[in-house]
Amino acid sequence: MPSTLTIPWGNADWNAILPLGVVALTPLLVILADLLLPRSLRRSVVLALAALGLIYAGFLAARGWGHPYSAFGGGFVTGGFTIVFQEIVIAGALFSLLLATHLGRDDQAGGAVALLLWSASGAMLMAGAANLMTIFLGLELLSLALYCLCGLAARPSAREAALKYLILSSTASGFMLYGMALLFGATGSVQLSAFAAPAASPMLFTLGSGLFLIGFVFKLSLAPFHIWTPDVYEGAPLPVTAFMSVVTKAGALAVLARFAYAALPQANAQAILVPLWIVAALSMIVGNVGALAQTDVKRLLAYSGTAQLGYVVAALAGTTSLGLRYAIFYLVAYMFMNLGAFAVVALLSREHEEGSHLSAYAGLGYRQPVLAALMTFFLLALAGLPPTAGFTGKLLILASSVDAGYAWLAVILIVGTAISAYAYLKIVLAMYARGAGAPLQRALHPASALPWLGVAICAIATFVLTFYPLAPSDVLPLVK
Amino acid sequence: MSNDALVLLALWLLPLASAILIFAFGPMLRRSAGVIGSGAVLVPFALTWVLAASALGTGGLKVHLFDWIAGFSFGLWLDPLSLLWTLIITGVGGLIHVYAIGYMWSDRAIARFFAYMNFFVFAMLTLVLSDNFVGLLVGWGLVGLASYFLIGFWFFKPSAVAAAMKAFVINVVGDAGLMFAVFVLFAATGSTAYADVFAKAATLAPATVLLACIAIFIGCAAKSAQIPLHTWLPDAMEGPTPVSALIHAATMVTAGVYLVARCAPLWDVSPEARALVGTIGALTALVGAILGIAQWDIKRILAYSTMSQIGYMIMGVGVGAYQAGILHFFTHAFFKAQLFLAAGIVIHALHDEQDLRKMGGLGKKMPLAFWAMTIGTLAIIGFPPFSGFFSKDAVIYGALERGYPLLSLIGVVTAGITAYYMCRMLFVTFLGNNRGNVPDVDLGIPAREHSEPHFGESAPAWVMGAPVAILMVPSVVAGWVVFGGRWNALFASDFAPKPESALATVLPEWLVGVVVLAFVAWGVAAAYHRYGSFDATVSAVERLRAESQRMAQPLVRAFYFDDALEALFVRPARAVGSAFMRVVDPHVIDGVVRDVVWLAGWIGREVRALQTGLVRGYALVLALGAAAFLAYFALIGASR
Amino acid sequence: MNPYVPVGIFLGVAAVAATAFVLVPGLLARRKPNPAKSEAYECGVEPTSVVGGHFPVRFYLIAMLFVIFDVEAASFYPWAVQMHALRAYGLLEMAAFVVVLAIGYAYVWRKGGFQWR
Repeated sequence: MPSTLTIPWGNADWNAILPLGVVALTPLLVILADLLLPRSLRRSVVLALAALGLIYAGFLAARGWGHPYSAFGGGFVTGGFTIVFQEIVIAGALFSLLLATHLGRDDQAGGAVALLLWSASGAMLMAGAANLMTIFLGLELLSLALYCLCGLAARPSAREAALKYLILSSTASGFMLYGMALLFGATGSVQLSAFAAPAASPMLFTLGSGLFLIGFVFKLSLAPFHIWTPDVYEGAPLPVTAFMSVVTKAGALAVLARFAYAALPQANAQAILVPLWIVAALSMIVGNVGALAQTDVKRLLAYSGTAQLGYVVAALAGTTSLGLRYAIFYLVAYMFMNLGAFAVVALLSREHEEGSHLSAYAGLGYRQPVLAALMTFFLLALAGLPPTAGFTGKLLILASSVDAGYAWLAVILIVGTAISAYAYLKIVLAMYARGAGAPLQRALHPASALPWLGVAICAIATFVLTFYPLAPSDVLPLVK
Repeated sequence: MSNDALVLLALWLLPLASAILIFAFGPMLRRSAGVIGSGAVLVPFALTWVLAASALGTGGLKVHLFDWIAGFSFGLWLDPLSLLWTLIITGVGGLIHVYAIGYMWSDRAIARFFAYMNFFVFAMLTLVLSDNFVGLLVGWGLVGLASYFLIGFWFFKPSAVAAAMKAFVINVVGDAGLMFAVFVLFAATGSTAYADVFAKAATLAPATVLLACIAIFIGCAAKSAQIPLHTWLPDAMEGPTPVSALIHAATMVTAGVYLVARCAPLWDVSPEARALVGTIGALTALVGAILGIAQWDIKRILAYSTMSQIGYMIMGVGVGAYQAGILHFFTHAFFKAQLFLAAGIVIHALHDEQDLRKMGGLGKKMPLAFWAMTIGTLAIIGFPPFSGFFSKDAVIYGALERGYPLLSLIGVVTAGITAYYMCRMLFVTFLGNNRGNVPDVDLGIPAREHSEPHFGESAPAWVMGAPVAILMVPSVVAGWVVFGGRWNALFASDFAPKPESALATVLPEWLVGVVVLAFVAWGVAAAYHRYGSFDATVSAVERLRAESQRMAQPLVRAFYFDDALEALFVRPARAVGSAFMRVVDPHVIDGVVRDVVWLAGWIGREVRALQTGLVRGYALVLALGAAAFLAYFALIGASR
Repeated sequence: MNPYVPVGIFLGVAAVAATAFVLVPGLLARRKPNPAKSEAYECGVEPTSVVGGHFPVRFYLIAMLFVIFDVEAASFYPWAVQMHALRAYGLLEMAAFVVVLAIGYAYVWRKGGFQWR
């Protein structure tokens, strides 16, 4: 006679993953809508459903503020830290949806949007993941959907992008999985919270941490693990690129921050993390120098993303509590200025051609003064000039890294900024100078006006955040 | 907020509001943009006078705007030093704006021009009015941006775009230095407000102060065209002449002088920094003057003279003779703006001809320009009682007084050279007969493409004439402020009293003045002897041609500074960059190659080879990175 | 001494040697490709088709779909064995699983994933 098994978790556990559940289940509705509705309605209904699901999930997540809870035997932790990153993921996904009006063919729209949401749910899982298994589950959920999405555009470079991403990302996942195995071997636990105690075998533990970090440095596309980024960003459809540039990074950064702040034993945490700062420094240089030579805005933003994530990671240097707040602030600022730039690219896109080549920007300042001015604003923000959130964020990061005793990072940040100004100004120059004499043959024919909404919100947010460097104050205690 | 505070806020923000307005409604405004733009600068000028009394009171006028995050609060501060700069920026700036209405009359983009100009004025005001280093940095960056836009204003000229890029890059180098300095100071004192930093200046470690001073001065050198970062200034003359007058003569390029004077408490505790800055200033003055001799382009001569005169100012504030340095800024703003505006009239009238060799005999045709240029020249060479005499003498004697006799000597020699090349420009342009019809080859001018004359109808003559006429008055009298010691008293609260050196007690000021005058007289005489009767006769043209071709190479190539910078930085950077690209992003280079390849029609094989190679190459980079990572972890793991 | 150090040395030597073997020929070799050299080697016979050979992508697609549904159906077995112990909770869980699977199945079907065109 089989005995009755006790179910080890109750309602509170399910409540903890409710926002995540909503984002993971909405795609089912999306797919059904895609199957049942007539073709003419399909795309708009699908997008609306997905947006509603995300907004509802955002609302549910926000409701959990101030109720930290450790669900599923410590596998998933809710609290301020998780919520902040989940909201960033949700916002990033929402903005990507605004650009998704020409994502794939009509009969692919439902599937593509569903994949996008599943991918976002993976990032949300990573935001709260507190043991190695949930981390890996979230990461793979995030990545598997993206492999498919990358190949969605009907051009050879898209397939190239998808294949490259699959191969290289799998390699990185392999490194990480090996690292997880070593970590488990060294500590006998998969819980991050169990790592803080001195490990039985320090050698295994440090090696495991190293391999584990490689996986996430790859996902954050920090140099020299950024090598895949430009090709993949260029090949992937625009909304997917925008999604990857924010959501993937938010998920990976959440895990990285949790690992750095809550998991590592105090004694050798700083020594283990040193390569991370070196990689951040390298990214600021490589990313910005790489951006110099680009003639494609998506590639340029890929390199710029490498540099920007370098800044974010530099904020964590010394793992100070202030640094974490500033990193989160800069990530939010980066989300707005970066997605704003992507939205401008979306507006310049046409049916079969994405408006990412530099030539699409020639003389834009005279054809579309408002759009060009906004693009200039976003680029100045990315370059870190006032009055933008990028300036504030960079200033804060500089202050915190100098404060934490990493002045050399601050110096490299400044040098990187100087280089980047040149790269971004190239686009500004193109918009305001050379093409002025060109005929006005490229009028604006975006697939929809939705990206305008994205541009407007991002511009306002980028400006407002300059003066209100909001960073939630009670994040740190909730990391653990 | 008090009334004064509101007035200050208004005068600071008015140019910005006007810039936005003009930028937004430019096409509708057309030429009235010029009137609005000029008004938005002249009204703040009037407002500044309203505030003069409270600015000169104890501690100046302080307006606290907002608290930002801890350690950064932003406010405005109008003290005698910033008052002086504000008056020049808005006063001389306003006159140049009016002049620009005429100069840009038939340019289709006149509205955009005034939007940029107003934006520049706003940025410059931010720079001088800020009460903390962060605000300074913001203004510092923004003036660079405005300057970049204005140099490249005629973007259809490739040379203008290249010049704009060069100016921007060099300025970014300076910005980085300044930013670094701010962080050094912030790390050392925990604040970015001037008041807090300067209060702690004396207690800081000397090495820290020296580091901060050097970093600050890198910023100053880039912005104020001090060697070896001066090479962008002559090229910047590609911008419209009013831009040259406003940004590259009267205001922006003197930001370095302002900053050194502002940071006087730092320099006061670091003798090494003082010697460095004074020396760089003196050398710049000398080099600029020597290079001015070899130029044929009227605006480039003025550019080198600007560089040279700013060298004097930097030398003055550098050695600690702050009042003398800023007095030279004060007088220079008037006579240099006037020289540029007069040159602009000539250039405008000759349809964009800037080559001296094609001018000559213009004195009778353009009397206003001639007299303006003459008065400006007399002022700049330091002829009594014109304004430059008092300020230049003050700088030279100041250096002597502070115990830098060698720098003082350089200043004296430079004064002689200045007299020579300025008179050369004046005589060749205005005396003798007109050479406008002599073919280029006969004059020894290398063949080059002529820019399209884009001036159609022109504005009423008084629009350009009036500002020049008004500027003549201060060009003569501005130096007289020294009488009665009032000038020095004005800034007594800002700067520590000066120590007298032994030499200064021996040599009285009047004697130094006489020596300077002797050198100046020699320069004028030499120039007259050589160029006084330059006409269109065969022998004169022959001489011009011979001189054009025999010019010493080091002078023509501007002492190889550009070549040196190119060899030291640009070429290695390019080499590193391309090597880097080859390693990191084979796609970029191949992208270019690929386009060509595609046209040639053999894309297939090439791309396939590229792709299979790429993923493997990428994986190799990943593996190498991972190996480096693991090596580190194995090391720290084993050491435990 | 840490017992892993020799292993580390061995790994290091192996890595250096392997890298060198990959890199050195690339650096030293003479490279003068011509069409004949770049061809696939087929015993002197002129190649008649692309080396890799053609396989219809459809085939992989359907095989992959089969594997997905097949493997997922495999998770019915443990549930069936423990059904009584898991009770209503298990039933609900499995019902949810089936619904997800069914929606996926419907999607593939409607999108024509099973058709051999």
